[in-house]
Amino acid sequence: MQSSLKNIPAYYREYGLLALIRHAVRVVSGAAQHKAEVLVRAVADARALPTVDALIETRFDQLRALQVVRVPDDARRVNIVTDSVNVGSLFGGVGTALLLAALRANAIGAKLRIVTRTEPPDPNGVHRVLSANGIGLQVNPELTFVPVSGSDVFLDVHDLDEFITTSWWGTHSTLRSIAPERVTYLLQEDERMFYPHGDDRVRCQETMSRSDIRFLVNTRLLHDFLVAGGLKNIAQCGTWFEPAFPDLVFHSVARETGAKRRLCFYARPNNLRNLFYRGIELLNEGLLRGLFDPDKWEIVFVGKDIPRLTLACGCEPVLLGTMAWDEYANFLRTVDLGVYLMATPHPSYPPLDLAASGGVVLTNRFGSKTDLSDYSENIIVAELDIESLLEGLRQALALTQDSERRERNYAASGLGRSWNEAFEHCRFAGDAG
Amino acid sequence: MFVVETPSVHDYTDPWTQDFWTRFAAFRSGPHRVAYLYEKADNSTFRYRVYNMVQTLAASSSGVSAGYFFPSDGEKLEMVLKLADTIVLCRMRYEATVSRAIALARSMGKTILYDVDDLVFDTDMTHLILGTLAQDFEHPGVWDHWFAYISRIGTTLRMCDAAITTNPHLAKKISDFTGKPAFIVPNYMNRQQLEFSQTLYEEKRSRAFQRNGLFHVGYFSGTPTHKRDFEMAVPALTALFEQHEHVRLLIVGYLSLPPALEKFRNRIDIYPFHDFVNLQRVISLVEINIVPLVDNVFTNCKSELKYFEAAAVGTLTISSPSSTYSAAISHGTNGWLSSSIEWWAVLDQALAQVEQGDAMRETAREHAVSTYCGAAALDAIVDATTSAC
Repeated sequence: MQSSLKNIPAYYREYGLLALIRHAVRVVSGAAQHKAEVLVRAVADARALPTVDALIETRFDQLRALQVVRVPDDARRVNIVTDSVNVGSLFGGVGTALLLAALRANAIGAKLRIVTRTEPPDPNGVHRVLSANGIGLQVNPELTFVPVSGSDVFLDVHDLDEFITTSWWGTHSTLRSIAPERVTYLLQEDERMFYPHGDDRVRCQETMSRSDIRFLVNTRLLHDFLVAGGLKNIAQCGTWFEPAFPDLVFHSVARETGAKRRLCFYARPNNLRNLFYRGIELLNEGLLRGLFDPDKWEIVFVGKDIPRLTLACGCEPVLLGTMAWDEYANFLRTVDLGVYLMATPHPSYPPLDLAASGGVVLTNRFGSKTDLSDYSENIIVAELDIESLLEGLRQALALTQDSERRERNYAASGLGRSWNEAFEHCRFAGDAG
Repeated sequence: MFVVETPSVHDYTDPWTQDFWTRFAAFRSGPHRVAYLYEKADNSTFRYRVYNMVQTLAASSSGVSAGYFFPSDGEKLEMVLKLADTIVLCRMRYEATVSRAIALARSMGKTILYDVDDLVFDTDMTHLILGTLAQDFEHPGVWDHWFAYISRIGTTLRMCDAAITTNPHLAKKISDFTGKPAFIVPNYMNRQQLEFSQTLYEEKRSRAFQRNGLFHVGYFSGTPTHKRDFEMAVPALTALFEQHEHVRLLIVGYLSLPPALEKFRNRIDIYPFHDFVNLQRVISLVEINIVPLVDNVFTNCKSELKYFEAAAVGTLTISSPSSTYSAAISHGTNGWLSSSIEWWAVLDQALAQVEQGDAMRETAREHAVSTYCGAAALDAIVDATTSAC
């Protein structure tokens, strides 16, 4: 039997009017049913598709709301929210954040709680950082791992909790659960530079533009750069501080005379802002032009994921990976010259660490970062083109030979030596006024 | 590990199995009678908060006599209530029998006290407690169970005239919750525990604290509910294993090993639960007893019993500095306190001190047996059970 009504006269002739009518009803109702089934399937398919919210949560999983539960308590607590505090992630910014939070907690008689989001905290590492900097905690700290997603773990919070966040994504996540007047965002880099123009950068910019939270900016250079770039909220709701380099950790010792001098290159090919390839170009060219003698200089690359390579001298640099705090400090005292490139407005820690340990540094200009002599005259700053960098290298090498000038510069250094003094003027969310 | 040849007590039986009339006779023997009510005798809260108190009062000339009773004593409980001057409901959850007992006691003008040794009466704390005890939030019954459990305790607590508890921190929480006074009677060791501990300690001392060359760290809270507490010490234990070949770990209970410790499995002994007398023998074997505690309002209400039970057998303790352990342990004198980030440093220090034959264990033992015994607690018990009348 034909299943459609395309040939109605033939059907009528063969089966009669009644059969035609019955068949027409069957076909029409069958089509309707088919249509309904298609519709239901489409709805079901649509329901199985992720919602916009789910899609965004999946793409930006680090922005998921910090899991919190309100539990009454009457003790003040300073929470630092950061990705990780494990060995290898405790230098520079994370170390500074820990010290800042510890001193803040001590200053207001609060407990410190360290909240990590990507891996469980390493208590031994935290202890090493604090003790290396001569900082003890007055109240037993809490360490809590609250993964960004997929866990029963939560943070108990009450009205006397304040939060220090250390990245725009951590700030965003925290602000989804915590009132903005309790959040201080420790800003240690222009984090927008981590991204090409796109969704991440838009969200980063939005967080950095908030005017309902407090900002603490690491270095006046970075602060001024951000404000000059249009982030007026940071001028209104922020304070800056200069990092400190306690003598306990960073100090100079007499370099061995007659021993091979040591040049350290900060080599992080996967951290684009560290300009790994411009750096190796520079060293190669410096060797080709005979700026320094490989027989008198040991070349050491310190960093992560460093490829093995041969320089123009036919020699392979010594590669060093992550060091513990005390190892790192000891190592710095053996370095004569550091080549530390950093394509951001922040001076970055390695140049300052080395200057605080008596070494000479070559780094690059970037934006308003044109002169770092306020920190130390032993830091030479050059434009990023090869010729300018080579000229900077010449000056830096000359300075390493002039021990009298180098020591005079070291003694006159403007680098702070006390974290307490570095933070004493900082204003936090939770401060009156 | 210390060399201890004192055998285990093979014929151990719970000492709280007397029949009703024996308990009743002890209860009614004095001019001021205290009736302790508990749901069902056990080795933990019942022992510390009921059995020990009754034993102490029985051995005293305080004029206060006491007995412990259970809902299973049935109708005879009414007779107990009539004769009692003070009734102590210990950690009893609200139910019809409890409610009737309170109503009856009230009608007779009796003083009713509530003894609770944990922060388990305020439902505002439920989520925190569940997290601390590593409960499964996805389990269908977990919320109903815990909210019911805590609110039943809180309801009964509020119906009483005052409370008794183990430490000032918890006492304040109770008073904040009820608006009523809370007396403090610390946990302590009973006669059986002290006598066997004395035997063990004397043997260790007579052997000049002889050891077998291995260094054992002990963890004696091996239940899944202490998972988060134990995890706090894991990075330090890992470092200790890596640095010192002769280090061993002894766990009593059923604690699944964290993955970080799996590679040291052949250096870890896990013993089953022990009764409270024989547990003292196991504790006496180890050089160091560790008590890591997640630091929050719930754990700060816990008593310091793991310190004094270890100290009584000449074993030193490293503890988190919770309110009670900070009060009991003077760092470097009778044990050590470790903040959350110092476990590795303090364990290493303790190992060095113990290996040098440190005299701290004598200080700790003297402190434990003189402070955490019935004689030391008697005044507080009498005060709590008579002054509210």
